[in-house]
This record gives sequence, C-alpha cells and structure tokens, in this order.
Amino acid sequence: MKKINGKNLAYFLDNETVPKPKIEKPKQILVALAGNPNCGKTSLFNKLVGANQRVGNWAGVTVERFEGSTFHRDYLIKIIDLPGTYSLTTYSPEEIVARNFIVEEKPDVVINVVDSTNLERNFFLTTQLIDIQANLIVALNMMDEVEDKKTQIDIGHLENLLGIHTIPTSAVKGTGIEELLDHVVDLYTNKIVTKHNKLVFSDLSEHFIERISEILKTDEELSAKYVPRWLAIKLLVNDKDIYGLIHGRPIWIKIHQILEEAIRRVKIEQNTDPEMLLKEERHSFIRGAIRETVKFKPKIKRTTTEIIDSLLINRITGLPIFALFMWLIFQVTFRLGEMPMNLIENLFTALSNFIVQIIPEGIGRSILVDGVIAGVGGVLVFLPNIMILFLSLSFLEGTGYMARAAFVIDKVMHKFGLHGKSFIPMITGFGCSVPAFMATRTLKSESDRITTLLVIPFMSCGAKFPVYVLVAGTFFDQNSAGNVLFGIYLLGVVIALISARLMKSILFKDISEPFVMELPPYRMPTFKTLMFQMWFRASQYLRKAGTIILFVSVLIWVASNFPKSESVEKLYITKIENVKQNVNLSDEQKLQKITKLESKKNSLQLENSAVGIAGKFIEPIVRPLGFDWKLGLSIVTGIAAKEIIVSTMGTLYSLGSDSGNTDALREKLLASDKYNKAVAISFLVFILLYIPCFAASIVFHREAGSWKWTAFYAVYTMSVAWLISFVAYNIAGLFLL
Amino acid sequence: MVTRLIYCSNNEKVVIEDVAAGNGAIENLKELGIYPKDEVFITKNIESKGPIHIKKNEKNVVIGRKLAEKVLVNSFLEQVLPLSQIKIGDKVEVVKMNSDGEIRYRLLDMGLIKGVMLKMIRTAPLGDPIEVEMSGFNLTLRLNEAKSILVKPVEIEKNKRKKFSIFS
Ligand SMILES: Nc1nc2c(ncn2[C@@H]2O[C@H](COP(=O)(O)OP(=O)(O)OP(=O)(O)O)[C@@H](O)[C@H]2O)c(=O)[nH]1
Repeated sequence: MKKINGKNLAYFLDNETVPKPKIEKPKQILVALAGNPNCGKTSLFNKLVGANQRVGNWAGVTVERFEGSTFHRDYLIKIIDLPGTYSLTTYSPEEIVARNFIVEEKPDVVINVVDSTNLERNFFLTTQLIDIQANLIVALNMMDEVEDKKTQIDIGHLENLLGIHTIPTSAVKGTGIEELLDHVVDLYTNKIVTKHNKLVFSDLSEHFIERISEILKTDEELSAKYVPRWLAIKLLVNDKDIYGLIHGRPIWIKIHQILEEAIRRVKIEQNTDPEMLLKEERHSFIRGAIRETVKFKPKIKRTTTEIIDSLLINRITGLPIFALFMWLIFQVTFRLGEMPMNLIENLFTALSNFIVQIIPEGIGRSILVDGVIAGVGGVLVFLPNIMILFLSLSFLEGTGYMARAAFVIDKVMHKFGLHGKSFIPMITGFGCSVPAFMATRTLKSESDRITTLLVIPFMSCGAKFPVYVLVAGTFFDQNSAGNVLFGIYLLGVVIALISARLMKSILFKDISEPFVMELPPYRMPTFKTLMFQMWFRASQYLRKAGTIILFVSVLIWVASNFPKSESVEKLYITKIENVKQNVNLSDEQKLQKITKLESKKNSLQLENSAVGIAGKFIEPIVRPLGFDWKLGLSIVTGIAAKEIIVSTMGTLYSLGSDSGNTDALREKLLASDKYNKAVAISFLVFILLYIPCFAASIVFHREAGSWKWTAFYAVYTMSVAWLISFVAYNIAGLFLL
Repeated sequence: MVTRLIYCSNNEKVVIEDVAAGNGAIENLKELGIYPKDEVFITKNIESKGPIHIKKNEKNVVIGRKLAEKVLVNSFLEQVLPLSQIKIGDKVEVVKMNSDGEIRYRLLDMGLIKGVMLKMIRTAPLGDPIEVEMSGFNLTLRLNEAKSILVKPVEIEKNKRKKFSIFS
C-alpha cells in the first residue's frame, strides 16, 4: 500500500455513531439513484419502479429527469434516477444535477449503484458520496457477471470498511431488489444506520482539511446546510461552485490564507498540488480497500468482449462493419418504417373520405378534414421512423456498440469539429430531420449537440426528393438529371461539414470537448428496456412536439385558405353554373370544364390567402435567385412540409393538387419563359438548404432547448440557402444558358 | 529492461535484444549489419517520426521507423514518453498527467493518475482515437489527448507472430 509521510493510510475511521431516536415519520421516502454511466442504473430503476415512471427535464439543462415510485411495506418510495456520472465535481450538467440534488434536496436515502465488475472506478463516486454524508446504501449491481467471472467479494468486510450497507443485486436477473427496498425502509426508519465513516487522507491533507473545517464550522448558516468537511475537501480540490459559495463570506479571508499555505506546502513536500494529492490519495484508499475485499480469479481466456472487439473494430473490418450497421439502421428505419407510414396515411385518407360523406360541405368540414385530420395524420406519420430508430439506437447503446461506432468514425468527424457520435444523427437526417434531431440526445456535450443539430438540416431529407425529381427531371435530360441530383446531395454534405467546422471555431471557440469515453463490455440489453426506451421516445415526441405540430398545421391550413376573396368565389360559381346550364356540352365536356374552373379558382384563392400574400411579399427577396412569386410561394408552403411544395405548384398552375399531374406540371414549367436551367439549379439548391419543415423545427427547438438557438437555426439555414442559391444561380447562368 | 528501440532517447547506449516480428524483419536488420547482442548508441530519435540513427562501432546506421518499432533492446535508463507514442500490446505505467481543463478532471475522475497501469489495446481503423485498458475497464481517447499523459513502458509485447495478426 502507498505510504505517505511514512505512515500507512487508514481507509476509514468510524465516526462516533450516535443512535438516532426512533420517531414516527411520514410513510413517504425520497430515494435517489446515483452511479457511474453503464453501471446498470437505468435497468435497476426499471426493476424497482416498473412502468410507474415519469420523465421531465432538470431545471435549466437538457438532462432528463426520471422519476418513479413503488410501494414497499406500506411506504411510498419515490425514486429519482440521477444521471450517470463518474464523479461529483461540476464539470458537466449531469454532475451538477446529480450533486445539487443530493446536496440541496437531501433525499432520505441515496442508493449508490455500483458496477461490481469494476469496483475501482465505481468507488470513486462512492467515496465522494461518503464525504457528503448522504444516507447511503450501496447496490453491488452486475453481481451475476461477478459470479460468472468467479471473482469473490467479501461483502461483510466491505460493509465494515465503508460503514455502509451493501446489497448485491442483478438488474438483469432481478435479484436483490426486495432486499434493497427492505434496506431503504429500514434505513429510513432508523432500524439500521449508515455510519458516516469518513475517509481519512494523509496527515498532510488532513491537517489542512481539519483547519479549514474548523473555520467553516464558525459560519453557522453554512454548516447547518453543508457538511464542513466536504466543503473543506472541495475547496482544496478547486471546486468552482463551492468557491463561489464561500468566497463572498467573511470567513473567506482566513480560508484563503490556509489554501495558499496548503498549495505551498504540498508543492514543497509532495511536489504536486492539493487537488492532485487528494485525488491520488482517494484512489489509493480505494485500491487498498479492494485489495482487502476482492479476490480476482486470474483471467486466462480472452473475454467475450475482447473477441467481439477483435472482430468488430479492428483495422481492416472496423470501417466496413460500421458502414454496414449504419446502412442497416437507415434501411430499417426508413424502409421498414414506410409500411406503417403508408398504413397511417391510408387510414387518415379513409377517415377524411368518410367524413366528407357524412358531413355536408362547408367551412366546418374543411377545418375538420383538411386542418385537423390532416394535422393529426401529419404528426403520426413520423412515429414509425422515430420508434424504429430509437429501438435501433437503444440496442446499439445497450449492447455497447454505440461507443465503438463513435470510436471508429471519430477521426473523420473530428476533422470537422464534430464528435464520433454525431455521425448517426447526421445520416438519419437523410431520411428525416425529426428523428435525426431527436437522435442528438446521445451526444453528451452541449457544444457537440448544438453543432450537430445545426448541421442536420443540410442533410437532404426524404421529403425533398420528389421536388428534386420534378425540377431536375423537367429541366435536364435523363443523363444529367442524375448528376444534378447527386450534386445536390453532395452539396448538402459539404455545406453541413463546412458549417460544423465554422461553428466549432466561431461559436464554440474555447470549448474543447474531450473524447475520453469508456468502451463498456458487450452486454445484451433486456427486451423490456428496449421496448421502454422506444415507447418513451415516441410518447415524448407525441406529447412535447405533437401537440404543437398539430396546432401549427391547423394554423397553416387557415393561412392558406383565408382570407377568401368573395368576388372570385362568386365569379367562378356563376361560371361553373353557366357550364352546367350549357345544353351544347356533353357531360364529359362539362366535367372537364368544371374541373378546370375549380382549379383556376383554387389557384386564385391561394394567391389571395395569407400564404399567397406572404409569397408575393417575399418576391423581391427571392428575385435575385431567379424565382418568380409562384416559386416563392411554393417555398413558403414548403416551410409547412416539404411534401406540399409539388402540390402547391400544381395548384398555382391551376392543375389541381393531385400528384398524378406532374407531367402536365412539367409542360407548364417548361413553357414558361421565366424558367431555365439556372433557375432550376437555384431552386434545387434553395430547397436543399433552407429551413426544414416546421414539425422538424419544433423538434429542433425541443432538443436545442432555447429560443436563442432556434432563432439562429432559422436565420442560418435561410441565409445559407439564399447565399448559395444566389451564387449557384449566377454561376449556372454563365454556363447553362 | 527490455524495451522498444523507438522508446529510447538520444545519446543512449542500448543492447539489441530481439525483433518482435517475422524473419523478414530480422533479415533486414542483418543487412544493415545489426545483430542480437550488439551494443549500439542512439544518435538521433525524433519524437514519433522519421528514421532512427544509431551508431555501431563508430559506424552510422539508419533504421526506418517501421522496422525500428519492432526492434527490442535492453536499456539501462527509464524511458518516459507520451502515451500517444506507445505501440499496441505494450503495458505502461502513468508517470504524470499534464492535461488541462475538462479532460484533466475527466481522466482524474476515471482513475487515471500517477502509478496506474495501462495497456495499449488498439487504434481505431483510421489511426485515431486509441483504446487503452485500465484496471477493470477500457478507455478511448484521442491521440492529441494522449499526448499529455506521460508514461513509462513496463512490459513490451514480444509475440513474434500474433495469433490474429491481421485483426489488430
Ligand atoms: N449482466 C448484467 N447486465 C446488466 C445488469 N444491469 C444492467 N445490465 C446491462 O448493462 C447495460 C447498461 O445498462 P443501463 O441500465 O442502460 O446502464 P445505465 O447505468 O443506466 O447507463 P447510462 O444510461 O449510460 O447511465 C445494459 O445492456 C443492461 O442490460 C446486471 O445486473 N447484470
């Protein structure tokens, strides 16, 4: 064992345990689950509370807050699943959330979930929880794996060393759950106690911890709320938050002097700084404690994880296998997702048809059918994609391949300032931005997540494809149309990567995100967890985004139908009547004429509507790009949904909005002298780069978490689209006319 | 201690021990006039790039980096070098961590401190990041981040032919 100052370190010293009085307490227990990432905390949480859980966000940060409850021995046990952290410093939002909850909210019991196959790293957090004097229970999770490995853990001895009740559990097998809950109730009712042992550092460190604690104790307000010893340790390790807490107080002057002295003496005696010294000592306690309590069986064979890794991420097959998995995810999400999507669409069409039959024509029916039902359908069509994607992502996360995928591709992504984990959201963007935005959740750091969110719009989504086909197919011959399409997709990727680079070097200039990451052993996630994750994302989308999407789609419907011009309406109704009365026409001819008149009417009404006015209003802005008001208006409606662009053009050219009419639409476009190849290119570029549909934008806002970013996103995509289209129009004008 | 030629520093005297590779590499070395048990003097070894210049009996020999990586020597000094330069399979002990900012905290919290043993497991297919094994778990970090972790090699992977050589 490590010796400091010539003396062996004691691990833990018993504090005097004062027996607490047995008092009647309310039969409600607030429990927090704390633990490292990948320790099986989520699985254990699910086992403890079942489906009885709610999700929210921690105030001020985009970290999810899971909360659930269960009954045990007449007690209502409310459990908060804290985010997984390696430590309780304040470097990441996760750590701040976890620490503040334990320190400020003071839960009745804290269950520290520990991956028993990896005690050395996990106990680092445990010892910090001991410093805070949380009312602790340790759950030695993954015990099944420990047994498989034939490692022996002397739990009794461990309990003595830590002074904490320690319960072996397996979240996968479901063992130890009852016992854990028993201990929670017993601890709460003071049947058993946590000893509040403390971790004793070297004499040198203790000297300063003691002196600072003594001064802290004189500040009554502070010491009533926090454990002075913990504050002292945190001050010695340069914790910014604790510094902020104390440095405005009168006692700071004295503490400051001691801290300076500590830095000097630690430098002289140990040639390091107090922060490093304390951390090293903490680690050496842990190593000592483990040496005393755990007997490892020497490993002879390669572990399963090593074998799988040697196949999946080696130098030769690593990239192809990665590409294969990514391709699979994409195909499954969007190809397999197509079937339920069509089903949903058909269902809603059938529903509208049904309503059209039973309710007489009028504004009410129109609102119901074209506004509400179309809106609900528009929300639901995204569901299959979201569910399948998140099923795949949870599977990758749960098995441990996700971290490896990031490992394999990080070099490329890092070149553009992105993280290896940005890859999946970005390729998902080729399918649809909605699930792509949601997939950025896997990125832990704010700057990586925001950058990825901001570049996803440039990955051309599936709904834009029909527009490309229409425009490219109309203005280019068969051979070059393919090249134009390819060029458009490529341009999107290039713009995305350049944007990422720019943002990282301008918006997040001083933030360097480390890649330091654990590659967890391969494990099989449970079916239940996967299902839960999938359902959870789906329901979140429905509740948080779906309602707003629905609301906005009704709004857009209104905007594209009102105000109606009465004179136009009257004029065309009389015209139609005239056709009907005309005895010289056959029925077939009548029908043709009427359809034509209807289309003309719709086109004029769209022109008169709020959306039409907006389209005309922006004409001067899109003029330099070669667009007339009709293209401008198509772009405006495309903000609602990219699928609408083609049908809007149909309406504007009085062809009716059926998509079957594309041939006629092509003729109209070609016939117009305002359009040429340069305009076509410019239009394609604009459609590629401008703001995604509002459903996606709403999801963006949810994920980015602030109006500031949503505003930036709108302005950025719009200006990039305008600028690049402008350049493309002028260059194309030189070569293609 | 047996170590790799590339880990040794300028002006160091070492004894050639072995070659951790197939016969081809041994032949190459022989062609250069270097044999096991030769005592050589390192005249130029620039960090992580370029060939290595050594002197044997006052004769200058230049060994290409790739070959030098496989040459094992007996050295009497202790080598300290950045983790980013360690070859796959080698075990090292952390001597000092010079990282700054967030990464420093992350590494410290994960237990990467002085005295900890690491084993280099692999590099990603594109050469960056790297994967190292710590006690009980595996960690990845970028080469750039590994640069500020100083380590000393303690055990060199000697297998001449690894079983799954194409796979690592
Ligand atoms: N063998 C075994 N596997 C487990 C146990 N508990 C969890 N796992 C598996 O470990 C993996 C990670 O579990 P999670 O519950 O997602 O871990 P977590 O701590 O919530 O991880 P984060 O969400 O990253 O914080 C999953 O594949 C689980 O199925 C256990 O007790 N034994």
